Amino acid sequence: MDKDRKIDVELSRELSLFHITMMGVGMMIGAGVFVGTGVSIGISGPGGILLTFALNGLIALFTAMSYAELSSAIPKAGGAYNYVREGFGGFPSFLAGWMEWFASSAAGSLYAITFATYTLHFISNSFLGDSNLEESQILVKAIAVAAALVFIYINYRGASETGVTGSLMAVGQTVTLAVVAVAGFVTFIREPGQLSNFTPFLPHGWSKIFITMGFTYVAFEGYEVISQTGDEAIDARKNIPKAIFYSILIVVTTYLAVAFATVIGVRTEGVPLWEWMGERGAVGFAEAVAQLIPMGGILVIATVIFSSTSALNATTYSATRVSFALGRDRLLPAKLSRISQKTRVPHVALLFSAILIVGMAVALPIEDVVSGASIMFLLLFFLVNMSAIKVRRERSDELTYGYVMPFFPYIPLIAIVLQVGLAVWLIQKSVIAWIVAGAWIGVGFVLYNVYSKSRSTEEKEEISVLREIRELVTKDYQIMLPVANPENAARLMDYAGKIARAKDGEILVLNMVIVPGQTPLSDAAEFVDSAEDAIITAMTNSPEGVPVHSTVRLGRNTARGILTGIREHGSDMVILGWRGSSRRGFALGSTIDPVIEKAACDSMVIKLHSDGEQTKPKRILVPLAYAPHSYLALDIAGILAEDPDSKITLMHVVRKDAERQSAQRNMEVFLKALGDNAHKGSVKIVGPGDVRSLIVQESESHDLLIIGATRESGLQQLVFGSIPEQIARRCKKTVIMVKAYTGIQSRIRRWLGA
Amino acid sequence: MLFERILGIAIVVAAYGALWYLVLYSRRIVEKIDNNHLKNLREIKQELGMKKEKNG
Repeated sequence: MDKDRKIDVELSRELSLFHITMMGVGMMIGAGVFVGTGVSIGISGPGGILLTFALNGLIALFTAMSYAELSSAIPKAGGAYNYVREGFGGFPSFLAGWMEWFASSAAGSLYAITFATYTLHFISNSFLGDSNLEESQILVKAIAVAAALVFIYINYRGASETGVTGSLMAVGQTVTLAVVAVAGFVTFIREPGQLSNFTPFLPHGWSKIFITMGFTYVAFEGYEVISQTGDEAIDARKNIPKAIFYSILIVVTTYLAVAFATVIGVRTEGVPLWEWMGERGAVGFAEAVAQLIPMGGILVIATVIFSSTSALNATTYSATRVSFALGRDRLLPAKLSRISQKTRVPHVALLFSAILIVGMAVALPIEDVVSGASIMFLLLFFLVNMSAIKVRRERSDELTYGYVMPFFPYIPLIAIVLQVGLAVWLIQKSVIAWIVAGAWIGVGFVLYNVYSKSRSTEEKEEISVLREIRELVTKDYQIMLPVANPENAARLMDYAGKIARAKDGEILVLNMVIVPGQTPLSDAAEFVDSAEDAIITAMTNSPEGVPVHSTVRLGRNTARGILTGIREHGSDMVILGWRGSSRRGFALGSTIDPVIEKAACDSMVIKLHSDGEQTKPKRILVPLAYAPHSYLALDIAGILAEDPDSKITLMHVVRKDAERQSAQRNMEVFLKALGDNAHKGSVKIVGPGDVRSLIVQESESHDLLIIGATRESGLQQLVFGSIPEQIARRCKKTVIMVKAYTGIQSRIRRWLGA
Repeated sequence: MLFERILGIAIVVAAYGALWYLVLYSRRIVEKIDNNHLKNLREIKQELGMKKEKNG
């Protein structure tokens, strides 16, 4: 390998604006709103819940604007802890990480308890004749602990819901709430008398609104998770601020509509609504919806169970990531930053986060857990707003902004005052939560002064922004060659080299290193070594005279990483190796299928012959069936038939003898398409008979089979079409399947089966 | 009671309206920075017509 050929490392940015918006929505529409709505109506009344959600939305937006500005200027993973570290460093940054760890863990406990409460409520109502199992604290705690342990184990295995899956879950949750909202408006139109449920509007006066605002604030903190995607979001500088704003707008609109629907849909038979809700507490919302729509109770219970498990999973790895960062920066023992070589998860940080989550779930009642999480988030956001002011005033010259908040510094100042006020006011709701939160901050203060202060690593002189992807392109035509297996890398490189040379292009060798969500991508550089074998093998076999670059992409999903790599590098062709078998549910494989289906470039899959193959194939078979991909197959055949003695057989299988003449004419047109290699070509018409068997039979007298994708409906689980794929499976020789990129219109037509 | 209800609804409408205003305004800022390839804070403020602040 040439000394000047270095392996680049880049982060695979796989999450779009939609994905990160819905991640934020999913985080917010979790247990907070389901538990909070019923409890809050009980405390501040039907008018109070509307005021609570509208005002909380506005306050959340104020802090979100600080997040948006900071995340656009410092687009790296880490969220609040990073911003305070950049703004203040020292104790405030330790405190931010320390509080964020507690807040995420408390939120995790809340979701575990919510899961347990609603599961028991479902079992009671469905099978045990309304026996109110959810009122048994021991049962609730036992199930909450079991659920937390399951998700901790899932996190330990490194498997967790990705941003993409999470965003789909969030769509489901939002749709469920939208159904509730629509049902509420229908009820309002049909039975305007139900508006009487809004009387009394504020049964306990205005002051109770501040308690419910503080209590439900945890349901507005989704922008924290969006800001964590700094190293995974596409066009992070622009999309993270937008996602933060859109998610808040979606959530506040949904909450207001759902609160209105909940109030108007309940029939309390003379009991004031706030009393009715107060008696039912955490499950009040589900019981209200059960009255509003048929099967509504089941619908809400199912949504709560799904959303709380999803949120429990997300908060578990949020807590893990922040404690990992504290360990990495030596603010806590470095052991917390250890990453398991087996699962690539920060397992020590996960263990301590698990202890916190389970400990709080066992020791505290649900309302104290909600209050504790809200207090910590409010204080954390206070620090973030302070950092937004400090960073803008002192470091703005060093930064590149994608968003700058208007009305500065009034918006962060108002947010600071309101958030501290709400946090203090929450003492009326839960003294225990404040005692626990105060104790946590006190322990943090002692820990910092005794341990962290002298050990913390130096903060970097300048704000390190993740490196933009370096421009690798030196030629107009680029082949992307993803390699994973060193055994096949050299042979794939051989084919890529021939095509690149013929096209006067270059090759980009890519290896995807998959990192679980619990480990920030920017801290996963140590796994790059695992990718080197395949890359070095490929590059050692680089063809002479063809520029070859290599890159290791750190990402969450191999297929998405390759696809975003193709887009970012503007590749013209992708070449993938295939072992000749696939898992159930996939045409060729879990990576190949999505890459071939979605790649915005020509694609080629090579099934390598197990005994190796001739590097200069002499007899190449190209079955043709008039499909648009045939010309690419011919193009590749012409390139690979580099030996002067090579022969290319253009083969067509007729369905009936009467087609032979027209088939011969069509094949001669294809023959001309071989251009300078036309003299190496010959036409063979066979059949009628089974297309697959005849082609496989013919391939036995050839070294290489090149087949283009066929036009078949995308409704079937096929990538190249059933004929090429079955032939490739059965053929004993090396098979190349090709698919020309024909743009979106063609894909729509193919999907429709036209 | 009626006054309480009118005031409450007015606050909800005002807060929700302010939310929309700030979100749309912020989106416009993001788009403008992106479309005009603005980077430097001074450049952004000038383009967006934001007031110059002390030490800012």
